[in-house]
Amino acid sequence: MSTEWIPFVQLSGVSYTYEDSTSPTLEQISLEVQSGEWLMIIGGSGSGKSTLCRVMNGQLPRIAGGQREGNVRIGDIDPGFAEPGLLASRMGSLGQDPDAELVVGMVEDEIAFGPENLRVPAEEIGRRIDHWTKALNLQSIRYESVHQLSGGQRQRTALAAVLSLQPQLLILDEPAASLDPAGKQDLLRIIEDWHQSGGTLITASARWEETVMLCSRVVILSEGRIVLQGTPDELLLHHRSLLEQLYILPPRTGQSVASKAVMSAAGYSRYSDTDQNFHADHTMKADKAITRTTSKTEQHHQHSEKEHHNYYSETMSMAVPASATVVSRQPVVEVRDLTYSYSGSAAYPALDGVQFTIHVGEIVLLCGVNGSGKTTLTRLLSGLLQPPVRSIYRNGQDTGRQSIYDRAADTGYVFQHPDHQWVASTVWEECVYGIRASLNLRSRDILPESYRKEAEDMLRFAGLLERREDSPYSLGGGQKRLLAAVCQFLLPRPLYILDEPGSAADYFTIDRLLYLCRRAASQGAALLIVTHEPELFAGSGARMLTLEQGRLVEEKYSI
Amino acid sequence: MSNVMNRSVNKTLQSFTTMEIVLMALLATANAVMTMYLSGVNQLLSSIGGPIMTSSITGLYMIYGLLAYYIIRKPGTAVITYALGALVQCFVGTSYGIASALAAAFCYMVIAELIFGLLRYRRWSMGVMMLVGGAMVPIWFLVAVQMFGYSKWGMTVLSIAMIVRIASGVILCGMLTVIFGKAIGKTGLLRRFAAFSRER
Amino acid sequence: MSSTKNRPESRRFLYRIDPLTKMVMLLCISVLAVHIEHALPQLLLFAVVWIAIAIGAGQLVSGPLLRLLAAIGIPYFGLSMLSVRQGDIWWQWGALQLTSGGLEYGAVMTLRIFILCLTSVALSLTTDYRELVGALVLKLKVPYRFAYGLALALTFLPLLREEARLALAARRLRSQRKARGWAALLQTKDYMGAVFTGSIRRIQHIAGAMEAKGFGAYPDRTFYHRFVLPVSALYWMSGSVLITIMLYIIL
Ligand SMILES: Nc1ncnc2c1ncn2[C@@H]1O[C@H](COP(=O)(O)OP(=O)(O)OP(=O)(O)O)[C@@H](O)[C@H]1O
Ligand SMILES: Nc1ncnc2c1ncn2[C@@H]1O[C@H](COP(=O)(O)OP(=O)(O)OP(=O)(O)O)[C@@H](O)[C@H]1O
Ligand SMILES: [Mg+2]
Ligand SMILES: [Mg+2]
Repeated sequence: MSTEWIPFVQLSGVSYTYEDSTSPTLEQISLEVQSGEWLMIIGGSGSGKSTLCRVMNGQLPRIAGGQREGNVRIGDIDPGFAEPGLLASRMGSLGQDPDAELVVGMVEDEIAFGPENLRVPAEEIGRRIDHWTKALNLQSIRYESVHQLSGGQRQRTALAAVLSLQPQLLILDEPAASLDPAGKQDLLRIIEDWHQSGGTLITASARWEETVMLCSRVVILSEGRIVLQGTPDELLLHHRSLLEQLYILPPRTGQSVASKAVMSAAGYSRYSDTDQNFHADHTMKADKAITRTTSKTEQHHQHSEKEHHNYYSETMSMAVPASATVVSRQPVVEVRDLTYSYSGSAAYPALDGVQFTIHVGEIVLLCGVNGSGKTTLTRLLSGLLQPPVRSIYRNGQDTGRQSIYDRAADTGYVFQHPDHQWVASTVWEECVYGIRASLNLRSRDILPESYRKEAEDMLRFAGLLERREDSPYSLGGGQKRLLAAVCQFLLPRPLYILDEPGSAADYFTIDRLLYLCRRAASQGAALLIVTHEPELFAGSGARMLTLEQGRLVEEKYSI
Repeated sequence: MSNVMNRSVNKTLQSFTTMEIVLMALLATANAVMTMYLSGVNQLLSSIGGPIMTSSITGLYMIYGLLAYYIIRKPGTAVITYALGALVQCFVGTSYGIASALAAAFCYMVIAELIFGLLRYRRWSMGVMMLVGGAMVPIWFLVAVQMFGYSKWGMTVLSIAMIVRIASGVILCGMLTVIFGKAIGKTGLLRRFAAFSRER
Repeated sequence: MSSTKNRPESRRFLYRIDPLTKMVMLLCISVLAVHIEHALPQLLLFAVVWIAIAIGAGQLVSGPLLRLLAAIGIPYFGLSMLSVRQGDIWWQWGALQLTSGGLEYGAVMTLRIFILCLTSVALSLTTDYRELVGALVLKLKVPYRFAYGLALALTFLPLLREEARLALAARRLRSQRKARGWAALLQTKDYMGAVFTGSIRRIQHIAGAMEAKGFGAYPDRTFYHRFVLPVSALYWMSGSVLITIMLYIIL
């Protein structure tokens, strides 16, 4: 076939600048994808993966505006300026935020929506719906309306809606971010089948996972540029350390992630002077921020350096399992026989007879398949949903009888979907919102110096200080999660609840999250972390709970 | 003849982008939500001060269509937005019934399209918006008087109510539209729409 | 609950009537309600509508609805009654007079409002908007992109509600204090502003997702749930129109 030789997707010298930003987010990207290839774009949080995907599917600049330079071709059309809708027959694309992809209300309708637009006959649409609901395990929620779905169920639905288009090219941005392990396997199988039958595929991901080995080519993105490309084996063989520096691969065993971060930060200032080409240039966002301020004020440097040390000496001492030391056996929260049903969907309760206790200084991981009730549980614990009476006790008090204001005062909560959390228009305001509220300050009042400093340090630590004036909505997925967590950890709370904080995040984000969690635990807070990847957060003797269809089925300690 | 007209109508409709349709749908929804919250206020006002007091907030019920027109600036915007708004209200449930929702929307869209058409879709100043806001009121008021039996209130009350309504249309619909529009424009989220695109 | 949406055989008759016929019928009822000037026929019409809905939808004597009707009806009844002075005077207190004419007028108007309100309740309770979208496109030849505007608007509604609820809860969770008076008003303004900008921000993404799925690629589209107007619908529609015209002339 002659088409084998013409690249199906072709980008040459592509740069892209968002409308509100001054510097380009993508710079000089040149890329070719042959038809039948599976290209994987990997890069840390904020490296521009989503932006690149959206440039290729034409949403940038057609819908969101901004400035694009260079050439983009999909087949023989330029997606950025093509007739809207013309693309759909060739290309299916799934954005990072599945919420934004679901538009017509019911799971079945979502899946039918694309084929209907492409004038596929009804019988065929029916077949496709049957096929994809089965493949992605959506049968039980086929007639459910999308706003009642769990995060993972939404992602499955969004995937099914794209796959049912049966395009030649698929662009998937973090398609497995909120899927449970079984769902990831399902998806992998679907992708492989589809790839085998000749489809072209582009996926984006923040970490190097096992699935990478299956793709035909990898492109490594950093700060909007392509820094490496090649087959997965090749990259792993020759460029391992760079991948680690980019936080795409986990650091080698023997060193804790956190300590590694400190060490490379220390080494960083030395390197960049001597070796201009060294790619670490693109890596340490946070540490770069630190060094940059250093050159300005020596004093400041001293401070952050010291603080950094404090941070990590604490962490290291925490390497001793918390369960051994902090067992003062004081319950922070006690859940007794909690049963909860959402009004309106009464098939079976979202939570059924759940019972457990979290103690001071404990880190508890909460796992379970999509739709098993994890988010529901965290919402009840945090008070976002009104808990039933006599089920959740804090300090011996029944929270079912408290108002949300009382409940809020002692819980830090990070939403599964970070966009739901934003209350302010800039990263900075977002960060200090809680502080202002707790000091009873209005948005025009000046923040006391010590608080301001603390917030600045925290942002610097998260690598977001440079972004302080930007809207939180404009951050990359991983950055959003980190910001959401940072905002919560700025306020001392006896209980922190994080709902899937590490999904679609690179190891930088995970490292920072882990550090914050452990610090909080060492200071006597209890933590409940929802995750599909317990291995990321386990380690220091964390307890693991598993939910299955609303029941707590397993409780074990990881070592 | 009708064929030609049909085609030109079709052409007008084709010129709306998906984003504009989504915006109109969103505004229609926002209106339905607002109406729900306002219905309490409305009942309170009507039990305190009858038709005159209720009249003071009528402007708010029309704002969504005018705002859509202000942002999108294409012929036909009012027809689509008000029609969507009325249908959404029907489906959500309105205490005044489906007939009045549809009738009101019809009255508003005719006037808005007429005035903007006469101005050739070129003028979008505060004054023009206030004019349209005020002008959308009378026809629907006359219909409503019939429908809800206000005619028994007597001429004086009705004229006062009419004046209050027009004032409300001018201020709460016309003026607020421009204020809202500018505020949304400042967020930079609507640069792809006619009102805030760079070319202007 | 939602899984029964697709099993029409389990439904009562109001659910089964196609949306076009239902709209026509409800509009006919509205026209009559507005036309009738006497209490007795109005009461009859009200009873007929109420019973039809109670049987046809099977869930009408609910507390919230009664409360809604009372909230609308009582002040309205009082005002209408006192504003008309005709017939015998039954009661007088200063300038206020209760007359037989006033009573009848108040009753007619209040019942009228009730009937109008019920039409909308009937429609919103028992109609699947997707059917109406199908009907608009396939029968009334509305371009599908606009008919879909309706579907969009109606899916936005629960989404926006959920999002608004979450945003409010998020603020409270992040230790926003309960405020009073002016401060509370400012808080509300901030909050509404944030919810509204949040949804404006979504416009881009939603439009992008829709176009990515081929929305607007062709002038027409297929429908997975085909809308078929039953032959009987025509009879029902013309029947209701005829009856309405007759009653209109008689009453
Ligand atoms: N709408 C926007 N306006 C301005 N800047 C933006 C916008 N969207 C993204 N950016 C910025 O562009 C950069 C790349 O973002 P992008 O979302 O592409 O990252 P990403 O690689 O997908 O990250 P993640 O893995 O965290 O999702 C980030 O620094 C981000 O803050
Ligand atoms: N607002 C809602 N209304 C009705 N049902 C809901 C609502 N939110 C969630 N559900 C249902 O409750 C169940 C549990 O959902 P939940 O969000 O707690 O799952 P989860 O364990 O967090 O899953 P995931 O890993 O996908 O995030 C699901 O079956 C879901 O469909
Ligand atoms: Mg991304
Ligand atoms: Mg969840």
